[in-house]
Amino acid sequence: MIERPPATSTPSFAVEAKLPKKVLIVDDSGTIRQQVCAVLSGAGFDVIEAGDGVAALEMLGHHQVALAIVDVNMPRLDGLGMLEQMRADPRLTSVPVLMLTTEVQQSMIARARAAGARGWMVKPVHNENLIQAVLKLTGQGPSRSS
Amino acid sequence: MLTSDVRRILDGIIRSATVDLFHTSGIATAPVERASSTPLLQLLEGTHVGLIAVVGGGFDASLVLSVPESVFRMASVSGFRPPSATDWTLEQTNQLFGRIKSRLARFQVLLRPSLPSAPSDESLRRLAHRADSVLLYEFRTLRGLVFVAICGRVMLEDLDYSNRISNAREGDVILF
Repeated sequence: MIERPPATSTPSFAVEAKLPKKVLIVDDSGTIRQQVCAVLSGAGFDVIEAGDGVAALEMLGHHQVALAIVDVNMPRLDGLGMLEQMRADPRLTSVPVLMLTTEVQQSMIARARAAGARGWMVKPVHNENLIQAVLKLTGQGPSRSS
Repeated sequence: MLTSDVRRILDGIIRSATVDLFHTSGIATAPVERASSTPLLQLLEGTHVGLIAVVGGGFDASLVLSVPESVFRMASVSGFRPPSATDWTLEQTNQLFGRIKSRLARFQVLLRPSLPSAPSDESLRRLAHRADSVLLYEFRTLRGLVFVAICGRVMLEDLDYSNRISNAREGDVILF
């Protein structure tokens, strides 16, 4: 039998606030993954990475993330396919997804939005824009960076 | 087939897209007005090469980007050194295609790409041999030359600009 420590009066949100939020970056480019990891780690996030949609979905089975940043054009399973699979999975349906891509057409953006994406970021990645978007989508608001 | 007007627009798009792209990696580039007459394969020898097959909108071709090691060594992605020359070149090719695609979309030219790849010497030989035509663009940097080539068939007789198309732009962040 597991002996549990006595309950403390510390509210759970206070404990959670000390843990870095985990962000998943999914891109077949190691250059982009490295950039996003470095920028978000520097901003206090815990970043994990995957090289395509299949690997990312597998990782999401083992990690609880506050946000997934997902490239559109990838081998094996592209970003929109991954997004659709996440929205069909009750465990992942509420994870916010920010698409990161070179694609600029309104029809693609509308398709991602309809599939449940929370944002669309066009490469190249500007560090400050990335941090602001991630803070917003992980519910930490723009004030955290100031 | 390319009329001279279309060729002029296409040249402008490819040159501006390339200069803008390398600027984001901290590398200043300047287009060379008269590109080299050396055969493409010779120019690509010993460089890092990325390739994307492009179809649609009158294109049945490949976009090729060639970067020498000396230029790669100058690269910085938002203050970070890229992890590998091959990976960085592929991402540069991807982003170059994205820029060309978004500029051509304003002329109702809709392109569909393959994923970027690093071609073997043999597949480059096949490509150069098979290509109906090669549009070659040369760029000077402080540490060597960058080449961009469109190899294959480009059938554009007319380009009609429209400002009614409100696509996103490079670097945009749109939150829903």
